[in-house]
Amino acid sequence: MNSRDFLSGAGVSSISRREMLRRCSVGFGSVAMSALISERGSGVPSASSPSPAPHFRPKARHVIFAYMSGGVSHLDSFDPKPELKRRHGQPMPVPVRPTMFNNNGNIMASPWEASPRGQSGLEMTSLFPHLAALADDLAVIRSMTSKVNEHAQGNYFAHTGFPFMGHPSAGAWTSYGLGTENKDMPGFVVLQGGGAVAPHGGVGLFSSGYLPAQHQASILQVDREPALANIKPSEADALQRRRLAFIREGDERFAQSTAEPQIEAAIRNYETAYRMQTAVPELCDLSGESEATRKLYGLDAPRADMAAYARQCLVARRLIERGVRFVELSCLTNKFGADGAPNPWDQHGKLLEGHGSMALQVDRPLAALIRDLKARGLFEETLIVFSGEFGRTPFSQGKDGRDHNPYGFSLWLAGGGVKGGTVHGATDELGYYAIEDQCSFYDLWATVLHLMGLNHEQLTYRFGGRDFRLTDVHGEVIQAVLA
Amino acid sequence: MRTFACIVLLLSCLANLPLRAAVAPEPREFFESRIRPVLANQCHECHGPSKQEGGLRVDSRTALQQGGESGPALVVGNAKASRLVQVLAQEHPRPGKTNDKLRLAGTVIADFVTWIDQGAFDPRDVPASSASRDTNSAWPGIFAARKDWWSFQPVEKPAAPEPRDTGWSDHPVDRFLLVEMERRGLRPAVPADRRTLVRRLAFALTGLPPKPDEVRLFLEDARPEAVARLVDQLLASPRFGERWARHWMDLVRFAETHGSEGDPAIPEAWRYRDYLIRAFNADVPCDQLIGEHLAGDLLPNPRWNETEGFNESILGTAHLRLVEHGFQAVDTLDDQIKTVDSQIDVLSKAFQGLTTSCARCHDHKFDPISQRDYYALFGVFASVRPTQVTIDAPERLRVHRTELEKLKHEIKSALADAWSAAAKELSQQLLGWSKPGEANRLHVSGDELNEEIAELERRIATINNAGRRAALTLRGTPGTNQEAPPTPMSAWTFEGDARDHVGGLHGELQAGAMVRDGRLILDGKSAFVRTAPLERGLREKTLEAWVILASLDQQGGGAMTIETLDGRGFDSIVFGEQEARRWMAGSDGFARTRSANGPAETAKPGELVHLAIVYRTDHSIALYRNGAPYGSHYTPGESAKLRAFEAGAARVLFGMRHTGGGNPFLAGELEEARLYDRALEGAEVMTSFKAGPGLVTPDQVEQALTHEQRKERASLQMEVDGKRTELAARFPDYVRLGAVRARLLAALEAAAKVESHPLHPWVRLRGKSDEWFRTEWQSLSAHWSQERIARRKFNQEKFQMAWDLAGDSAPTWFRHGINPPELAGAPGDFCVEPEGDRALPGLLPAGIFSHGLSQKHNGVLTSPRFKVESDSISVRALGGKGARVRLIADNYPLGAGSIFPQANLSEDAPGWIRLDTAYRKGSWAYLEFATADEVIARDRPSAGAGGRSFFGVERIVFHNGKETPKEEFTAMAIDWPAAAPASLEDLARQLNKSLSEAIDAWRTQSLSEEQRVLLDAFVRAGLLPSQLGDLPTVAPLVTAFRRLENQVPVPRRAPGVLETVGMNAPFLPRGDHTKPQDSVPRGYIQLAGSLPYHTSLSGRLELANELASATNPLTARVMVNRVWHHLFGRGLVATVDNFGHLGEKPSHSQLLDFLAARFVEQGWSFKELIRFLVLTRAFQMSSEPSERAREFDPDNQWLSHARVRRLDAEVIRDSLLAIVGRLDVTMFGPGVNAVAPPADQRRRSIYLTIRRNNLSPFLQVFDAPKPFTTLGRRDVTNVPAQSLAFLNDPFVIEQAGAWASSLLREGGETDQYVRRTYERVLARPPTESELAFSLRYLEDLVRLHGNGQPLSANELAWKDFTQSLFNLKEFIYLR
Repeated sequence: MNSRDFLSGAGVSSISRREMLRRCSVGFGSVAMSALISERGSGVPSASSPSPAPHFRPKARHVIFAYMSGGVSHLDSFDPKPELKRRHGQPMPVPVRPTMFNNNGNIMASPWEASPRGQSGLEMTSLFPHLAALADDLAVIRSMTSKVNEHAQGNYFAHTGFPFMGHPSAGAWTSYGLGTENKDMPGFVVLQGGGAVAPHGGVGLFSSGYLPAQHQASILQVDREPALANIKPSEADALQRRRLAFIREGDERFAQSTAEPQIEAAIRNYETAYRMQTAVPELCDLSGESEATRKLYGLDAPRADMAAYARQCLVARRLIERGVRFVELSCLTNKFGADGAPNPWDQHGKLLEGHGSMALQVDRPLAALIRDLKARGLFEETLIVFSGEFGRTPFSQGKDGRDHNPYGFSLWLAGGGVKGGTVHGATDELGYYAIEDQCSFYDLWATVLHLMGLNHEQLTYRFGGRDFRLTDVHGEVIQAVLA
Repeated sequence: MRTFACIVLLLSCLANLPLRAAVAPEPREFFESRIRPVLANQCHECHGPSKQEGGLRVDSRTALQQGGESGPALVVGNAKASRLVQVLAQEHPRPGKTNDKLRLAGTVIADFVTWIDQGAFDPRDVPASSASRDTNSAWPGIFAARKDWWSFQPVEKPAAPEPRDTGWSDHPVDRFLLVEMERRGLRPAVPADRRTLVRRLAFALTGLPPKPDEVRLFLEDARPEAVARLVDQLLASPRFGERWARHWMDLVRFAETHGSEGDPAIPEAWRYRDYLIRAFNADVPCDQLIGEHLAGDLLPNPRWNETEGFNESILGTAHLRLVEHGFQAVDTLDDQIKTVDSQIDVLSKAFQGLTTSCARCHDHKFDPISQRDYYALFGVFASVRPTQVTIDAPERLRVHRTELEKLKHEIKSALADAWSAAAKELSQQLLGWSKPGEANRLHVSGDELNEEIAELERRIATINNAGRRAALTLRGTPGTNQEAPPTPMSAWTFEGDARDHVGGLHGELQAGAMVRDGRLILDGKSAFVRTAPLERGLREKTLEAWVILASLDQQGGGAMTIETLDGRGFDSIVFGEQEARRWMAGSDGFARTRSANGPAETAKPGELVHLAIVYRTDHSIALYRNGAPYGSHYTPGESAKLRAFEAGAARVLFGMRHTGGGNPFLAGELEEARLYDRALEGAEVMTSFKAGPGLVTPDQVEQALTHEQRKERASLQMEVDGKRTELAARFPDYVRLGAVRARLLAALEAAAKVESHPLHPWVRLRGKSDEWFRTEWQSLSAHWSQERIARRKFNQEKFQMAWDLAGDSAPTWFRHGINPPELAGAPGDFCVEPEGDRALPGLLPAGIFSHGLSQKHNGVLTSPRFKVESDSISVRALGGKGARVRLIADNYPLGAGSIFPQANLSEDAPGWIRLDTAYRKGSWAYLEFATADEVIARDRPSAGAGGRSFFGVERIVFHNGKETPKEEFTAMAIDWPAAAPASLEDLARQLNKSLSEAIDAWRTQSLSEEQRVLLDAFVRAGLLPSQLGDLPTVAPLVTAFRRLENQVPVPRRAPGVLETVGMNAPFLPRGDHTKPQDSVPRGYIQLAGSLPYHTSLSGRLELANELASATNPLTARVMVNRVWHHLFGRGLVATVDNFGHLGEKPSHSQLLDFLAARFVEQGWSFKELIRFLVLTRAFQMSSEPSERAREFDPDNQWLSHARVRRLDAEVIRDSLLAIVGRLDVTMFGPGVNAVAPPADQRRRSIYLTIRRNNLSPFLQVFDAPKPFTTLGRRDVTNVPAQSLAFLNDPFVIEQAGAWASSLLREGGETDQYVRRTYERVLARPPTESELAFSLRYLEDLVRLHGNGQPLSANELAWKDFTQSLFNLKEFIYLR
């Protein structure tokens, strides 16, 4: 079928955009796919860029990064410490390192009770009851450390391996290393909704850095129209198709006279863009989801923040189904303690209310996501990462908060290639410092890339005279959490 | 699925093998990037210097060839026979990791095959010694070997070669190029047609499409040299500087914020952008520009901008400040290391094409740059301190200096006369009023008459109060029999509008605020009221409001606020911000906010709540709710004193906490609000609450009075007037004496309570009989001397003098700005108040003061660098209007809050201020005193009216306790009675003598500090006159002084650095700043410098000389190559930022050297170079490749035709605006919001503000740089987001619409419309077939829109058509 006939606009105005797309899948749409593929390397010289294929056999094909911006307290969640209860109200027995607010109190017990969970007996507090029921799926790393003690740099460090802007985000590296499985979808998507905003540091956290721009995250607003900047067609479909036909006709002469491959690629981008205009709204349209699914996630929960987070989780699953490599979820502020919209877990005060409220927001939706992925056979090929930029101090800030603690904290992994019900590493008896099997974000990303079939030391990009990596010059795969 | 993935993997490996082998990579780079890392990372541990498993080591080629126990590992040229490859291809055990086998990817093995088959290039001549990595002993050898690289060799100017075809061009550049083409059988393309050429030139030189007129004139210009004329015209256009400044901004990661949390601004960063634009337009030589970037503040002969009257050169140093900073750095040293690293990174990439910053943790892996080199350079940059520099010519700021000094001298002399007289009078008054029985009631002739007047006025007030009550009753407000409430300075009743019914602070309704039924309605989303600026300054004050809350769960809204004009400083009645449902006194950064511990608000819907906050001069703050104290009053502490709001620089808000705050809006209603210029007593607040809202205006009172009342009042008034006339006639001095008495009474009252008061002894001794007089005197005197000894002892024991700025320390400090002066002044200097009733606030001690002549004179004063070793540092200082003292640790300038010791200077009299430095113990730091606009901080203070701000410093002490030093010289302790007085008369005589001597000493510049304290105490107590009304001879002089002082301009500032003394940086092994080693002398990298620098300064000047030098092998080459890159689309060295071993080699090395040498010869002129290059035939060729070029040179490395290029992001945006005739070409000044709606964004993109955390989405889509490092070559990507932007972005659509409507206004035939649009968008007319298919398209558009408009009037169709031409690749690709 000749694509140009399609686009001439004459006499086809009765065909819907959706119908158009269906027919396009054998028409110019197939050209669009090759356009995306040929884009690779059309920008900067790509001597060091790998072919979009894994280095070895992957265990997972997708990553969902549940980022807990602001810093979840490990002591109140995944690393319970009975010693805190015993010493509640006593001064710290070891010197206290400088803190952000320098308003350090005494040791503060967790308001949440801990108990062993599941077959594995993984110790967790009651903060995340739904996730606790899935303890046998989680691999908790209790010996995380960060180099940074403040939000913005901590967020950059956690996302890119460097504490400043300009470097590619883990999602961009993944997209760069593996390409995308769906020609109409970006490889790296950040979900926002319910008023969630980028963590401190801004959208640069989701940047492609020096990697080619197609690896940059697309930020989807799951509950807003349009979900993506400029995705909503500015005109009726027939007009737009007629426009595309005109452009194609005009561009062809130009392309012929210059013989530039980059122009060919740019021409085909119009066709991809055209398809994305439908694919993206369709993705965010949850009307086809069953009542049971909506309930499971908590989509209709009375709490607006939980419903919004649930929507993100459900859209994340739909993205995974559509072959997107890397999805990041965004927490919403609940206005407790010294927090703000970009760092909702940051309870410098009112830990009980703040963490309680934030846990309520994410617990059920995340647990639902795991259950739903399992039910659809996607859990085995999806890696879920749950982490903040640092943990919190065992001593109080003021009367009822906790300050930042980058010296020891917890995160967990679940899904493809992960050994569930595992604990790796440990902090000291007060949960202040990681003392056993210290891990860093470099190790986390080395492990994530490993599970995705990529060797973190070989996933490099030459920029400004240096080969950069997500793991800088560090990183060891954390073998203990691998299945 | 998995199987499929494996097959793909296999295929891609297979596919890669021959491909990699076919493209012969540069052997050194191949080895360094693909082979060495694998050997080093995977093999060295067991087969390296320290360990040789199986006898094998792999750290030199010889060793590999020798092999180990299993035989040779490497057979050069034969991968198959090399054991190394076989081993690598298998799983290989790793040490200490039983389950972890080394498995290398297929691509890595393929790399080794390629490497060995192609000769196994290996620069590692000898195995490294085991210690070499750390001790550097092998470095000289490595350095020598690596220095042997093309870009490090001196530039020598080659002669232009003779191509075989001598007819093509005489231009030397063309000859260099043609020779290379001929060598490869290529022929240059034909010349580009003239339309293509004019477009190419306009974009390359100005970043904008050619104007239709320019195109026409050029096409019509048949004379020779037409191109040269066009080029000259474009080079002369102001648009040239805007285009080329942007290229330069890519090199210095230009941004106007520091990034990280909060993204704080880099104040006035736009001045640097303007500096670049001016520099390129004025063709400032490149070496000059580079010199200014490094040391513009130190140049012996800086460039002066004659028009603007400022120093251009100093603006170059702003680039050192364009760094990212962490937020609230807990580890400030870590932040400094990142900052300096960024400075080194940019400097070396931008000007040298080197990646020096790679040498931070180890010697450079490939280039001859050692880690020591890095730390030599580190010291240079770490030696300078960030600040805002003053760019004005000093003479501009020192205007009227001589006249002001002269007037000040005259003021002083007149003051001394007045004080001498007053001192004499004072002792008589004291005596005269101290007769027994009159101790508490000082009599002035005329008092009786005055008392009669007062009584009459009381009666008038009673009538008025009755009228007021009547008015309230009339209005329906519950009447009251209480006493009249206090009188506000301003009051807002919201009857019909937000007018101030008492003063002039009229409010304006903003953003949806409404007035309804006598109330202000606030939606809690955007509505608020803002008043006119204060007409006079406010210190103590009371805020009062009657409020209805829409919801008790709202957070952080402000009911009533007084704030500085920029919203940075404020006091506010705030609801539910820090504690839910509770009221608090909101303030900037919570500085004066504490929990009052009041109860949670329980007001029912619609219930009116009365609130008041009282701010006292003793710095205490008290909240009241419904007339009763709300919680407890508090005093926030020494660092959070009462905030003064200056006249003209502050205003009142209703419904908003402060401008610029998050969640600032209150949802609810305001019934009434009042502002008082004094601190109300608790009883007064209660009275006001009981009286309730409902301010009654004088008119309303008038109307409410009965006829009788009015009549009575009129007669009383007449009586008052008569008695006043009598008083004035009989007792002409009554008013003055009354005022003197009032002050004296107040002083005596204060003196009774305060031991240090100058009249304390007088109060104690007054009324004592002679017998007891002596005893009392002795006991007082003994107490004083003991106290003084105790204080001195305390001060000596508890405090360590750090710097005495009134003495020897002054020259050791560093200063910038028009003031502070170099040397400490003597005691007794003073500042003439620039406004208000006072001539002066008091007398200054010896020390360094910024405001000797004008508070507009600005300054930064910083201490030497020191290691913080005490828990506290106290400074004896004063200041006002946003001045601040800060401890700056490790040059980190953005600290705020409790972990960064600092204090606002808000007292005009000297006092001790303690900084809590415990948190920063162990850090290297300096103290900074700065006027408001010199403070770089997240929470920048604001200057007072007219940009005034001031500070003064006497001395600084280190200590550990929380107490500050005690005052040793207080008026109490002054030894004024040399002999013990025998009587009150004696005491009065001696007081008079001491004062007179002090005044004389002041007059003759010989005032001692004791005398200064005495005089200052009397002046501040109002006992020696400072009010202009009391100083008839001084007042006209002060008026004259103020008139001139007002003409002193406010200084202009820019980001910059403060030079202090040079400091060598310690060597940090592996870049770890927690393990510093010996320091490295400052200098440049050994490769291009001479170690070390012999200077006591930072060494920036030396560095500037080494970089901006004709003998530096890199500078000219790098810069010429950058220009080439921008003109030809690719550099002669394609890796424009890297001329090191990992960079690409030049395609035309002789040409590059020719251009570099010529660039220097021609005085480093960019315009000359650009002109020279664009007048080549090479630049003017067609972009159409020949068959041979398509086949053999698809990358167009040999430049046989012009390179097609996509326009830069900014150029695309600017073109859209220019084409439709809407580009606003206003130059310079603060930037405009990059994310504003399209209609507000019409300036060139270079003037869009670049906020690191909020970059322009439109520009980002088209690869505008992310400002974090040098980016000499931008990415050119192709992503669907670009197409989506062109299809759907409102900015694009708006421009298309603008063109369509202007087109239809012009009128004409439809094919003329098509032609005109083509010419505008693509700078060429359509071809016949384009015209035909355009018209077909337009007809379809008319039909599809179906709006019944014919094509000639169908704006929608023309809008779509125009947008579609924007959509064409020809629009964004330049041929």
